[in-house]
Amino acid sequence: MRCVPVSGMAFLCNDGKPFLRRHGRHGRATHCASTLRSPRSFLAIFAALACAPSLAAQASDAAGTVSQARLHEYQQQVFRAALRAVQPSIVRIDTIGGAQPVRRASPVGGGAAPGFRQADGPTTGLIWSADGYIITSSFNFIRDPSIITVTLHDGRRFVAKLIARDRPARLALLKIEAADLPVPRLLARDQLRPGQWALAAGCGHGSDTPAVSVGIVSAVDRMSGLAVQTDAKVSPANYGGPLFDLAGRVIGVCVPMGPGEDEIADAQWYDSGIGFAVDTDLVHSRVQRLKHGRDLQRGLMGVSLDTRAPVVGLTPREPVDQPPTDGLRIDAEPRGPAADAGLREGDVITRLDGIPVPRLPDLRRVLARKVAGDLLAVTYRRGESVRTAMLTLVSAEAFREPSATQPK
Amino acid sequence: MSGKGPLLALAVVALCGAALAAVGADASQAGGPFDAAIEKAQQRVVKLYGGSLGREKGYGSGIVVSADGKIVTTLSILLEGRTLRVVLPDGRRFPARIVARDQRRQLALLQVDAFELPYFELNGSVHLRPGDWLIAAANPFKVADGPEPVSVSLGVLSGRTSLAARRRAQDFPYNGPILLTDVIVATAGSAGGALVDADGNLVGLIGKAVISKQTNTWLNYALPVEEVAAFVQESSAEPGREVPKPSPRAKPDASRLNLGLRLFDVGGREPPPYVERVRPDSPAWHAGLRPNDLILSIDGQQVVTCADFREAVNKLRPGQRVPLVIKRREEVVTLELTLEEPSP
Repeated sequence: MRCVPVSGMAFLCNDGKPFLRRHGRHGRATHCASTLRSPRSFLAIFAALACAPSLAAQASDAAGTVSQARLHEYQQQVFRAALRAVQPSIVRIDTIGGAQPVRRASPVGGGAAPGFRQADGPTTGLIWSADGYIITSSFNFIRDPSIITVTLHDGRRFVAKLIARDRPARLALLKIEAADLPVPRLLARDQLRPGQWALAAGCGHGSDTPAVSVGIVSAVDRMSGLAVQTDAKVSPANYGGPLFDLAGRVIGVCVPMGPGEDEIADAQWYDSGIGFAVDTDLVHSRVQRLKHGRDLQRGLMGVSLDTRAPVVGLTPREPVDQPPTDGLRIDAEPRGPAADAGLREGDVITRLDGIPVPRLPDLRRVLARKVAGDLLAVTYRRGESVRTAMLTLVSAEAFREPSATQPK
Repeated sequence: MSGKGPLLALAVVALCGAALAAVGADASQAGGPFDAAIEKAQQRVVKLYGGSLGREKGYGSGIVVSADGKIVTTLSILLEGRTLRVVLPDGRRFPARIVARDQRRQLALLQVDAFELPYFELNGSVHLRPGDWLIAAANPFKVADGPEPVSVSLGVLSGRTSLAARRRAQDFPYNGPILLTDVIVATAGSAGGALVDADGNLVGLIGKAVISKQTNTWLNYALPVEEVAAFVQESSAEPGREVPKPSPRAKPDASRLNLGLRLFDVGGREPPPYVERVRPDSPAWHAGLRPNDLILSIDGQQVVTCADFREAVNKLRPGQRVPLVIKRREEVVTLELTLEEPSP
């Protein structure tokens, strides 16, 4: 049986959503969309591009369209080909040593916070550059292992150095001393759409070839814009591995994300049909920074905001003043960078980096793509005047009370 | 798993919805590409009802493997109750008796007094590649009531591996080959159900819900049909057969092949195989092993713990030359180890 020609697939998959009926939309997808609007013509293209000749002959009628009953066979071949295309860039990571972290006590109840133990098995990474940078998930190094090895698709094994971790995006960057490594093809964030096929693969089960899971992109812009959501099964078996399209192009790097504060808590959403991958644009920008060897932390401004706006389903305990509609009011004396920049209680933040932030989710989206150490332009209203201040975001560390070292 | 059940169930429904919508939108209005496979599978999967104990549910699934009423399912508490009832796909109910048990594979062969049943041929699963469609047919959460056909869910073959798992605090006895799938089948009542390919051929039997030691997650897997066939064959050759649980592994004898090597095995949970001492002029010495080397693999097999290493060494034969991959400081070095003939 002949291989599916992956270069041919690229044309199909530029459009991304081959099996779902789609509506012609803006941009580059349009020409494909018009071609594919008719199922018949789509099937013809699909048969011509993706199928082994013998099968095509068997399953096509005189007009060259695929017999509907055999459609799933072509889908299978496309899935196989997609995995083949990305597989050389998937690496197996083994860690030795280290310890499970001691879980923080839960603020209520006093017991250990719900957690997820990282297991002993191998984990997954993705070759990011030909000169040996490997992107993966910080989840895989929860134990702070003393030794990390990376095994390439061709069987070569290297000792890897953990360069740095990206705490907010749950990423980690490894480096091995190797050259001419096979770099995967990437799919940019603006080419993603809900409904397009998405496959996840990882080495966590210890099988010879990465285990694959098939689904679709569920949402492009989740977790304040940090992640692509998919219903392909994402779990410790493929955290750090790629989410990819039918042409084997990488959509993102699978990571544990969820309602929790860290990757351990968020791993509890594994295999639920709600999985996340950090898109390649963000991975690219984060890798540039991780290369400097410093961990990236969430960036904080040092303000407490008035979030008393009515929330559906919640009855406010006390009467609520009409909150400002064009911004977020600072409801306590600012600390840290915000205080240094001259912000005060009662100021209303209207824009961050020029982007309007009328509501908390808007603010979160701007901050999510930034990390501690980044500059941020804060536009705020005080009385009648509108001012802009520059501040440098800091990590939560900066707000730790020094009281721990001081006698009470 | 109790808290996870509904979530998983929702996920199954969501996945099926998405996948079927994807296939169905363009493929056909009159019938889907999996109609035949689903019908075939549903006609050959039975519902089981029996004893329950604590969290162990009193219901499950099974597959028909002969026209005269032989059924294979997984071992579980539900078989041990006072009554064991089978509901066939046509809605008829039969009492069942246990013909054979296999503690290693955790399988049971049942017999009901019914004839001319549609049954699964026990052929093979080797034709499947990762990414190929799979359909699970089983009765998770006993949502299929009475004569209703069992639930089907769509996914793909994720890959193959060998099982290393635990159930509760205990090691799971089966450690043979398994099929991995992205269909969520680690659900109450799914064990014993069928995993079929796109043509409805049986490729695996959904295994008992276990937690993978590799990932610490509930594992969605099936025993390959080849294992089921072997079990049925062994049981037919020897009715009433009871395969005992394999005895806990005796501590492997690392001295059988004298390598001249001592590992830094201080006990503890799972110590990595660091070399503590190498006897001069021994096979290990000639291979170039030195104290403080960390052994990564031997003969192509990865070793993570001292126990792994001993187990791997015990598979080797005297006189064999095998590659040995070690980590020495920041370098990975490949050595060649020649095993000496045992001294008389």
